[in-house]
Amino acid sequence: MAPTSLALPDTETISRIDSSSPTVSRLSDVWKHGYLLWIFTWRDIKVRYKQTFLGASWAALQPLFTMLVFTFVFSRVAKVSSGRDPYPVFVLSGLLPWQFFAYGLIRSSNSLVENRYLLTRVPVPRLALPVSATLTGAPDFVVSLGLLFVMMGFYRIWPSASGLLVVPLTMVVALTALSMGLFLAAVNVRYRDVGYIIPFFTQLMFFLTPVAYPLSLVPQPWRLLYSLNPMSAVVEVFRYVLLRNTVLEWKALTLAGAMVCTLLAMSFSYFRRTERTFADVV
Amino acid sequence: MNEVVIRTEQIGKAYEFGNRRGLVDLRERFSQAIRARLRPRGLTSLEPDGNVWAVRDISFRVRRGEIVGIMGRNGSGKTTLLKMLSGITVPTEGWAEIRGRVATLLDVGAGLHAELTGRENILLNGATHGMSRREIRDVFDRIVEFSELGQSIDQPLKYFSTGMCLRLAFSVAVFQRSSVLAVDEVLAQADPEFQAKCLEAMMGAAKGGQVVLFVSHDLERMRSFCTRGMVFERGRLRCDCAINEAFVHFASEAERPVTPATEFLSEPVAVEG
Repeated sequence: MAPTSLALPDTETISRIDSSSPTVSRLSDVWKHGYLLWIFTWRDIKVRYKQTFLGASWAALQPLFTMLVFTFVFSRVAKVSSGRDPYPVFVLSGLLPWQFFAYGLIRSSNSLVENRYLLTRVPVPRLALPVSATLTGAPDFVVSLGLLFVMMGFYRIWPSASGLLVVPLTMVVALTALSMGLFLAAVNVRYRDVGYIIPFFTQLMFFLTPVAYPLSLVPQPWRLLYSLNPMSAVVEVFRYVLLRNTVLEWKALTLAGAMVCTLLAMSFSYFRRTERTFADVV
Repeated sequence: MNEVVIRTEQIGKAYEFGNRRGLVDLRERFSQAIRARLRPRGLTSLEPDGNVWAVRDISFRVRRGEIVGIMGRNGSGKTTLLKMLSGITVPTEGWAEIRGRVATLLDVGAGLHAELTGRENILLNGATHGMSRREIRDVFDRIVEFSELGQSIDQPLKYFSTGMCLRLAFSVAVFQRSSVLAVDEVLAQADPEFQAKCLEAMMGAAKGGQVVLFVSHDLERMRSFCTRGMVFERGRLRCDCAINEAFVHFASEAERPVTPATEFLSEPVAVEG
């Protein structure tokens, strides 16, 4: 009955633990702990709509009502022109990557603090928490995408092969969320100010990203400022590969990509520098 | 069989004194800056060295098959030692070498989720403790069987009692492929039958060559199955000897009064929320 049959092989690696031992995360950890990443993501998805009456319907209702309210406010009241695209489809196609980004950013920023109990009790690979948290919004994203296709059908807009670019673009969205979330998660361990910054920051960033209005409405001198926001290019491109089948704006996208890579490298380096004390201060 | 599995050399962990572990907020920054200006030149800081040693100067070797009972009052450094050995926290000084993997059970609820069922929690808990998909699959049924949770295993964990959670957590810990099984004071949550089963399982693990580190306040029980005892007192290893001797040592030490100042500092209390 006792699990003696799990007797161990004699040749086992010896690990050294001291004040300088490399307990820092490496990029390869993401592959090495792939199963753990998947389990954490699965856990967050699984408990997302637990003990709710409407259950997973929430994933469809939220974007639906957001779309309706935005259409009323921005199209009817503020008279924002969405060009030749019907406004509901226009705004939904922008909300899709935005919501995925914002949810991923919020979840990953809070991931370490939310799991502080785990962090101080289990030798869990720390990088797994923010990384898996950025992917938690994926099911909602897929449902919203379904809703978008229904809306596009309603307005008789047919996606073409360029729509497939949505897949790599979605990965860019996740990486963008991670590039900021990783840093903020590490800071959050020490200073809970992050908890106050995040809602504020995402709200301001939402208005500075062409989600509810097209980038073409932004006066030329301000465009440069917009190009500093990687989500700006990503949202624009995301929208036009689906709705217009247009050629990608490679320049803007490359710039956004470079920006995300730089941010990611900086965040990761900060994360590695601070993670040794996570369990002590969280 | 008598291969050394754990070796520590003057290992120690210091925490910064106080509530925020050395974190300084804006108000404090200002007052520090002002005080620094007001303070006459040449006068050194009056502030004491803000470190508290949770554990210090611990050296020992543990060989395969040993069952080590770790005793000590609250805050004497038992958990901090286990945390360093399992890689949760980094030692401030000294070092340790560990052959193979450490399976830790520091707390009943760590790595479990209230909204998931017992079965789902086995996956979650196994993965958070570093088990691969394959490892979990191989022992999944035996974990379920060992926990003796019956039909409750398909219920969300929020309807579990603490004792039932412990059954689940212990079952996962004992079926990990590890060379060290470190169990902190958690068995008190279980009923006597399951406690006996746990002890039997730990003895079986030791027979198979695993090291068992067992923290408990149940001295009688420890005496019955540990082979070696360690007594911690205010972060120091006061006694490392045969269990009976350690027991006597601990009993006599327990009669001495302790200064409460260091009592509660070293083991941070986990508060959810």
